[in-house]
Amino acid sequence: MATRLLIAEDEPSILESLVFILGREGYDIATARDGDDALSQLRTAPATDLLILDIMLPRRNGFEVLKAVRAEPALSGLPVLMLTAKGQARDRQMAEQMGADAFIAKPFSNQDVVRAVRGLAAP
Amino acid sequence: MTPAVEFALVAALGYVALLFAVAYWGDRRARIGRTGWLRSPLVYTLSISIYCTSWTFYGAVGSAARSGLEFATIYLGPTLVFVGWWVLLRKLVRIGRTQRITSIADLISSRFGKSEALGALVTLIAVAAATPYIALQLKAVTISYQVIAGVPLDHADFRAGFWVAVAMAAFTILFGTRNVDANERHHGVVAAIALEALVKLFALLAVGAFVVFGLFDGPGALFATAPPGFLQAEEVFGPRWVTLVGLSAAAILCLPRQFQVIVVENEDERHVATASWLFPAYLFLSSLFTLPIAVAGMTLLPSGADPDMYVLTLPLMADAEALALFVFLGGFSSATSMIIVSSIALSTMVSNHIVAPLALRLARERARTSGDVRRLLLTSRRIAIATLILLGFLYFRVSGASDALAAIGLIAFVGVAQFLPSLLGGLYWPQANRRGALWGLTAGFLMWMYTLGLPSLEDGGPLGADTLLHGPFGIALLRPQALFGLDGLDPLVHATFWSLAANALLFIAGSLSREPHPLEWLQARQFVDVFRGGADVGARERTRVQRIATSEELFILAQRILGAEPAQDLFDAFARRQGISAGLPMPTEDLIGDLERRLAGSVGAASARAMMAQVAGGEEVSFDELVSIADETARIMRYSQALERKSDELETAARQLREANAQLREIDRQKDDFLSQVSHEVRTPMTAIRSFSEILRTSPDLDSTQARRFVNIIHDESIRLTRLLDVILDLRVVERGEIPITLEPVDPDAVLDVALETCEGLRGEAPVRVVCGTRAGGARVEADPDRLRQVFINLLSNAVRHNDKDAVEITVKSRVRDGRYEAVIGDNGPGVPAEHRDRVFSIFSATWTKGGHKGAGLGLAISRGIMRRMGGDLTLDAGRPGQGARFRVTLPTTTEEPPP
Amino acid sequence: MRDADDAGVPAAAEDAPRRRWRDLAILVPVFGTFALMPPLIAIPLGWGALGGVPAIVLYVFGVWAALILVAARLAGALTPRSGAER
Repeated sequence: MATRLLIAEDEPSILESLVFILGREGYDIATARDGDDALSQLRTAPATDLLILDIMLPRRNGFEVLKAVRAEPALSGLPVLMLTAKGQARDRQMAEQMGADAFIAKPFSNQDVVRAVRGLAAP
Repeated sequence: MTPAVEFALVAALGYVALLFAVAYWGDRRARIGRTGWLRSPLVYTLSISIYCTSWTFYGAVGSAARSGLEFATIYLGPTLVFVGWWVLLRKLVRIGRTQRITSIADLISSRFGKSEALGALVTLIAVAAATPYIALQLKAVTISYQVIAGVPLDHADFRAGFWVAVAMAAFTILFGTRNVDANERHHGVVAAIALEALVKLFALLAVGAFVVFGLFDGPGALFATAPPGFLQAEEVFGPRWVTLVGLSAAAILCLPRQFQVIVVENEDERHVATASWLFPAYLFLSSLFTLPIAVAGMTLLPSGADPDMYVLTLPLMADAEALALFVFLGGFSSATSMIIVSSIALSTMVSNHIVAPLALRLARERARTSGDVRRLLLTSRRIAIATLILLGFLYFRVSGASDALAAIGLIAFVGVAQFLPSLLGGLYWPQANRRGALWGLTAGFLMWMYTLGLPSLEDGGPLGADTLLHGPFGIALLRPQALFGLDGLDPLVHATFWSLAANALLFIAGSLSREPHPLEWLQARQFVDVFRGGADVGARERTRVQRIATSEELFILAQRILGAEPAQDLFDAFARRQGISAGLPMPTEDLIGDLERRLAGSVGAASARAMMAQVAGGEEVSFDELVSIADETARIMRYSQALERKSDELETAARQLREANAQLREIDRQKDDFLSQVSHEVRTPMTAIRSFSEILRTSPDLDSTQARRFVNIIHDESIRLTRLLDVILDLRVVERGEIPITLEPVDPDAVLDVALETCEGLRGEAPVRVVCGTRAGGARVEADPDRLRQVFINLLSNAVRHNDKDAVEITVKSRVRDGRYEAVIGDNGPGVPAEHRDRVFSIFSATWTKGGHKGAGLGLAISRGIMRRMGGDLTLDAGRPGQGARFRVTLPTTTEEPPP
Repeated sequence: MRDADDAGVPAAAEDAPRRRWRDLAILVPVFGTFALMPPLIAIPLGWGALGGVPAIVLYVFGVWAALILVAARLAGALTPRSGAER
């Protein structure tokens, strides 16, 4: 069974590129356009191996999603890769404290994304 | 020697012995702490009665015989001062107590900046006035002794005077200089003085009663024998009457001995209230029989008899020898008590204001080896007492043969009245300063000497009889007793007028000629405002003046002045107050100030300050520097009052600053938000562009549909970036007010319609309904139609994009009102929260990505900038919670027709 | 009279009588001065004698005694508090 990723990103073009490059690597990919959507998918869908999470999400931002994930026993061990559009130290620090496993700063190189995702979840 | 002589001599000696015994007893009682009645208001009042000297004891009757009621002026002046105690005496006594004033010289010196020069000057005047006065007392004793002993009065027998002088000097030195602290009461002396006050009063009452009821049948019969016209002379109540009342009122305050008993030795301010009526009552009683005795003397005694001795010669004539002896002792009492207290008061002034400053100067030059200051002070006081009494005796010895002494009482009054301008000015006029006091006192003193003091001497003394008659160098205008041609006045009135006029005038002129120095100002506050917390100024001063001294140095200084045991007690008390159980207290400024005050009670304010400066300032800090520190303090305090007045303004300014600062912080925060938003907005398309171009570059196997799609995405995102750049550039233009605008007359409603059409394309997911309300129809405005359309589009698109409803409803209305075109664009969205109403128009507003919609926020700032450039405005109507936002576009109307 | 408005004495109701006494205390020496100065003092010269004693003598001593009595009353009214001013 292929490794399953959930990508939460509200920018359609960025989401499309991520789906393309990671799909090419053989991952099974689900997408969410906002924070609430991402959380409900995590709770209902079969086991997800990695969450790729944008910070600037509508309804519920990345931090809130991360906090909820870490608070839920069933999900607390889920690896999380944060996409930080701002790339600011403050956001990164905050995400680190809340238990994010890795970070990718936008604009990213595709290679870096693939490498980071592989580090957290082999395809 | 006749038995009478012997008896008078024995009685006088016995009486002196009694005084010593009483004084000894009083001192003993005080030392074992049983001061009981010695501290009573009665004794306080009796001690004030040293005002009644032998000059008044004998002389009042003489004055009454010569000038009728005029004698009463000497008592009426003090009566008015005492019944008016609330106005003046109360303040004087309060100041004396809070400032630990040691003499009138100390009061004036302390008030005018703790001036050493003023202290010395006042001392000099006081000594000049008092020495002949003491001589007068010795003369009275001598003559009365000669009268009662039956010795002819052809030439004075100086032996009695001499021995009285010796006895009084011994008494005063023994009981008057026990303690160096001038504020400490001399209980032995006070007891003796009180006794003497009673003796002289009862002597006068006894002889009065004897005359009225023994020699005559009551007052009516007595006055019937008075010479015709006696007491009917209207000229008695002329300028001289007024002058004498004024002089005696001044004297009761300014005579050093009166100041000593009223102010320095006062132990309880309530005693002043009692004395306010009891002392006038004493004066009333002691002068009750003056006129009857005078009338009786004129009637019963041979015409050549000395009216000044009627008090004594009347009982002698009637062979009432016991009564005569009692009267003699009464006169003796009034002379001795005056000598005792005068010499105590003067010796304190001499030692504190002449000896101590000199000793301090010398000590400074000899590297501060001044040993026991206390011993120096006591010794100098003892020497001063002996010297003053001896001087008095010598004065009497030299001038005794003449009658010149008789007038001395009033001459002395005029002399000490010179203190009055400085005293009253110092108590009530804050501006009064040292220069004024120095000028006034010097002028008054010189004028007094020239117009009264020197002419009173035989043949004008050093002036010479010629000068007296024709003026110096024959200049008639400068004749001492008719100065500047003021002729025909009584010499006393003349001298009083000129000396006090010159004094007061220069006092005022000097005081107005410069600002008070800060130390003077500080002292002025403490004196003038003594009832309004003026004393607290001193406390504040102490906390600001920082003097440094070790406790050991201070202790040594205290020992040197107060004596070992009192110093030890004082420092123990200081230590206890600081919570230190053993050893010396901390040398705080509080302690230094307190100690200085204690020392001032012994050596006067000026010397105490100088001494403290030597110790507390360390060797390099001079007295002048210390004063300059106090100056600084006082200046700061003066300005602090002005600051208080300005505090309101300052508070307002501070609030405005705080508001401005908060605004700046808000703008700064908005700028940060803006920058992070911009970076986000830039990065998002950049991320997509980079990612897809990498895909295209690294994936040769892409099919063409996919590749085209990716290229399209890259293109769209590039356009998005360009648009973003345009917005940012527009923004800079708005910021600088550089929006290019070409105005022309247009129909704004037409522009609005075009905008509405354009916005048809906006309708996306949610259905949009535009409700058109009433329209202005045919309005004309000066505007740039393209820019105006841009504003309308911005508002319409906002109404759609910031809407959370499933069905968007936009309301559009317009009208013309008061020469202004108004278009209102409302929506049914969430509206703008009140706290964001200002921010939505801000350039740095962070609202432009709310709700996931991109690139909207800067529009409002730009739109408002455009409207204002066109002379109109863009506003947001006050909140209607839950009813959506309503923006209002306004423009002034014009009459010009739009181009066809 | 600068110190008439004594610091620390509030203008409370119970102080009103005391304030009147205080004002009187200021006025007494003024009245006394008027009564004992020309021209007022010369008036009794024309009044002759009373019981053999010249009226002017009775006037001077009468004013004097009156001043003393008023001052005694004033001292009584003003002292209880003046001791407790501090």
